Amino acid sequence: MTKKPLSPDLLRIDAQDEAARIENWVLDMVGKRFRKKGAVIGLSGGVDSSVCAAICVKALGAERIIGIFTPERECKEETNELGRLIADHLGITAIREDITELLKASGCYERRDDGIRMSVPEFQRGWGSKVVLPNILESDRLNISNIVVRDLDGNEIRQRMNTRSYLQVVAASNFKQRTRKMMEYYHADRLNYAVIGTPNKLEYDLGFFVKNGDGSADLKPIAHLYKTQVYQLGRHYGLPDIVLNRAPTTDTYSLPQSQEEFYFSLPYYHMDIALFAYHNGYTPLELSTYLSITPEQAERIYRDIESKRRMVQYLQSPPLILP
Amino acid sequence: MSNNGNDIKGKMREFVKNNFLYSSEIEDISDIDSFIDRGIIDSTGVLELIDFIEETFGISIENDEVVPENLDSFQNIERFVRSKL
Amino acid sequence: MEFNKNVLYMNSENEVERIIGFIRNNVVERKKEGLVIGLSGGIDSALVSALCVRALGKEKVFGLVLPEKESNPVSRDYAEIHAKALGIRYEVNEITRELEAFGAYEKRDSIIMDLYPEYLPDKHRIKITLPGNILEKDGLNFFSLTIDDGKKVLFFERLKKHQINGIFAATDLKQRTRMMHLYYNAERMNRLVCGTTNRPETLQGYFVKCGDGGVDMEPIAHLYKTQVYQLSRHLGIPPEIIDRQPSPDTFNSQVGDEEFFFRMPYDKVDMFLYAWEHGIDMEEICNVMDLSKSQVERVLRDLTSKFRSTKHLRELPPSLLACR
Repeated sequence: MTKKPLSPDLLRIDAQDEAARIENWVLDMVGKRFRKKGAVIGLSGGVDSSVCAAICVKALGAERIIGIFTPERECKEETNELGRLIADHLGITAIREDITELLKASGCYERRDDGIRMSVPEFQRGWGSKVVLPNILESDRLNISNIVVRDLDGNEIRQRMNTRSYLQVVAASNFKQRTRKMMEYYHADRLNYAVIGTPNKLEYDLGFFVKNGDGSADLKPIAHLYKTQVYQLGRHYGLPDIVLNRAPTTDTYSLPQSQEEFYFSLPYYHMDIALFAYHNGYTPLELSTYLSITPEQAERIYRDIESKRRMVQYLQSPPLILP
Repeated sequence: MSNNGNDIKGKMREFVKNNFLYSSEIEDISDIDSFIDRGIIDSTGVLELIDFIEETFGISIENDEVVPENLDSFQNIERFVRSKL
Repeated sequence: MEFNKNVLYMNSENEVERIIGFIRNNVVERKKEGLVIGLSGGIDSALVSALCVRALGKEKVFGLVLPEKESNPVSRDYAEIHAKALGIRYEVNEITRELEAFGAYEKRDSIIMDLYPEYLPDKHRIKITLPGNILEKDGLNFFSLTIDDGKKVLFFERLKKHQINGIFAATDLKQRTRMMHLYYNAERMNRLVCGTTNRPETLQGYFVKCGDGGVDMEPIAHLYKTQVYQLSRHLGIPPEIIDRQPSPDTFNSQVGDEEFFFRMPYDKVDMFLYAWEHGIDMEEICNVMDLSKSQVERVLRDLTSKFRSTKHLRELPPSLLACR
């Protein structure tokens, strides 16, 4: 059987059918399997959490949904505003929990800054920072990250990170996702609601989530959808344009950091096709033709996908137990 | 006029149907099915049941009355509530 | 299938070797440099840390002691004694400040104050319990709050659902905060977080999701509590830890696992769990354990109900992904 040539059309879904399918599944899971009364969703202002919220509203009723914002001092205010917009648009209760004091108490900022200083000794508190992976298309240097810092005058320094520094910065930053998730579980537990996980297929498959952070949930309604498909559902649900047009970010570092910079090294609509191609037996040559890159670059992408998937199988399984 | 059994059972069925999201299952539960065996009630489910019964029928359930004979089926609840009214 | 009072007895050294192999394989396969363990001063974490040291050597095991203001002071002492005896590096990190920032104490205390306005958090002690021993008297599970002033009981009342949910949501923050610290240390050192949940806890859902249940590996989740004791004695865990009453160590008024969760002593829990798992028939259970049919029935009913209602805690969160 000849495969169809790669194109965005291969990812197109019937949004109405798919929405209905997921909504029924959510009701079944929350009501029957978990015996819970509603759902809690962390609203980041991004399309994933917004679509999850829309699904749950249709499935369970707006009065049974709670949206939670968890801003902290390094968050952009825009995130909060977008989250609130979605909550109002869907007619759900919104709870705002500022987690800055929590992050200070756990030593998140301090420990992260110590990690940065292992690479940039002159780094000062209050400077902006973000972690960037090299573009996989440009080189084979996997897993060598750079830290970019910006001082108060706007000067930027870009520095390669050694392993210790990278691990420290990421481990400390992970307090943010975990603290957010703890807030979601707190509200869910007191109300006997389910916690919704918002990773999409790209994130779920490639491990772009924090264990016991955004990777934790009672159910994951869009883990089977490519990012392109999530946007399709977003349009189906009539989400505000400003949410649909916003580029995906990580909202973890104090400098704006796109997901592309931190983890994917390709824009999401290309990563979707690459992952689809990988899962459906397309050769690197076929991928390279579609993306207008060299076959070597396409091979690097496949190797990157493979190594990420290898690592993520542990993140996705329950704790290993001896039989 | 006696407080007939259907009233109590009817209210209980309505409560269980409205309070748990899986309402399609409710029709499927007979008057004598054990809630626990059917998996409808777990530890916090019991508490919810107790709270509702006390508030709706105006009775007070003592700790040592929190036993399956009194609470674990529509029929048991009806019998128990009638005995307290 | 055989069922008798000695059915849980194992060959200690063989079992230790088996668990050590499991620990080593996991660390090696995942290319990690060692393990991080939360040390509670209780027997489960003591056994797990001893096994990890046997498996990997003491340099590759890092202990974290994470007390808060309501922890039993003995927990921290015992944890430190044992860590020193094992020769592992460890850190003591009080999490009270964080719990205060979460409002964990405050949220719980405001629920209590609604019930008993005279409650004084700094002077009074609280605990939550289930009804008594289920073998002695049948009864469904409900939670009661006890407030005492160190000398006498001031308040005792059954809790409503929204009250117990609110209280547990607040106290579960303790276990989840600990999880965050375990992972911070594990991730910065490229290590795995090792869990300490045993078999009855696992199968009955006696752990906090994303708390003490949120770990990378569970080396004793297959062991009945009786077997935890057996292996602990075999490995020379300090007697004060072995003899300590097992408890969640969540409330400032001491409450044991029996009062708080199982409603039976551990040796009975183990036997019932074994019988239930292996489909031992009713008559045999009654004979071996010297109990009546109605006693056995009510325990099995409780066991099944707890297993079923916590099933989702042992599984991956469902999604619509097809099988990989």
